[in-house]
Amino acid sequence: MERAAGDGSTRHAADLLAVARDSDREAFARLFTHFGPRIKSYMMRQGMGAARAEDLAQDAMLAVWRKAGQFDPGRAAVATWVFAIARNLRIDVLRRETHPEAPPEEAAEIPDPTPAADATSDLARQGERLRQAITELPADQAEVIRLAYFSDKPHAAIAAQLGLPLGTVKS
Amino acid sequence: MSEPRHHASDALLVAYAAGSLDERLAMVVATHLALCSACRAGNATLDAVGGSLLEALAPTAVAGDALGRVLVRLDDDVPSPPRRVAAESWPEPFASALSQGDPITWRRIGLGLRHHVIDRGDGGRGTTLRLLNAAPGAAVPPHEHGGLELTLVLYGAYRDGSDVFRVGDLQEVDEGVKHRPRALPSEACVCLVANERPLRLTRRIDRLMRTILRI
Repeated sequence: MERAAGDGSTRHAADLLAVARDSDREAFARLFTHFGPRIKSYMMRQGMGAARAEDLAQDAMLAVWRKAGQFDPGRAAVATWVFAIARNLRIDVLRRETHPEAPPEEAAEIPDPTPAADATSDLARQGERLRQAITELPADQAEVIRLAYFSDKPHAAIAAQLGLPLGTVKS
Repeated sequence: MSEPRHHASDALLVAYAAGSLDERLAMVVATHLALCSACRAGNATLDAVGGSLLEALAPTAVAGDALGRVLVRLDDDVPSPPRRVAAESWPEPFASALSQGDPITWRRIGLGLRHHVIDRGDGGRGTTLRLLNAAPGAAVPPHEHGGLELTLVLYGAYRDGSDVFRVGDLQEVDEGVKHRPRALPSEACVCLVANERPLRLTRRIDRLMRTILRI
């Protein structure tokens, strides 16, 4: 039932923009159907019980609705943006403190180079490349990356495990 | 301002992107990101890795009425986010965090050093976050770490061994490393410092001083 990732992410972006622009509930429902169950899996991978993971998945999707206006298709793929929301929500809940977010680019002193005109498809391709790169990693290395993202290990423990093939993953 | 030359390590950026970093360490990393376009780019890539991993996760069925329960909440009043009054002259997100805490009161800790403790770290056993203000030329006594130490330069510059750290630079010092940073003689140096565990001063006299000064 997996659709082609490139097409999927382009459609997710269109849906999210429709949510931002028109408060489009059908578009939101499609995003919910796709991401809700994945966020629930993400929360469960962090050791949360199914009921709590379910609540947080719903809360995360509510945050997707509310923050849709902040989504910039030139800056991040939808999955990336949703991941950041789910991650920050999890941190908020676990620590009851806000994860310090990197400020919006305007607040930073150094402007980024102007994104390319077809940044959205670039990002879709980048996401696909990353997914591909992770798939092709030796099982133990892929597991290290998954562990780094999906377990609440202290930094030192992860650092010790990281013979991280970031060079492979960075394009 | 020129770009920083000392960056967050990959391992640190991964832990930050994964959300597994202690929030005090995360504050230092996030503020470094505000000042460093190279690490911002790395962070964006690592967020994209997170997005890819999320995308690749096998879905877990949500409750049959999950969508319906969210749909009825869509029109709820949005709780207004805490008002952010950014203190001038500090980079974000540290500026906002600082504005929500106590006003800065520099406490002398001797040897030309003053500090303002922002987070004592769970009664002194966990990670601490503080501003450290070194007079021109002042040196932090030789010390080693029970855990990771992150130092971000906000004003001025300091030297540690053969390296000079300037505004925006992040120094990552691992557990067990002994060092003796010293502010450059030309101007005072202010740094945001997170320590995973209280540092251990290595000379007995300093240990004694520490007892007296309770740093």
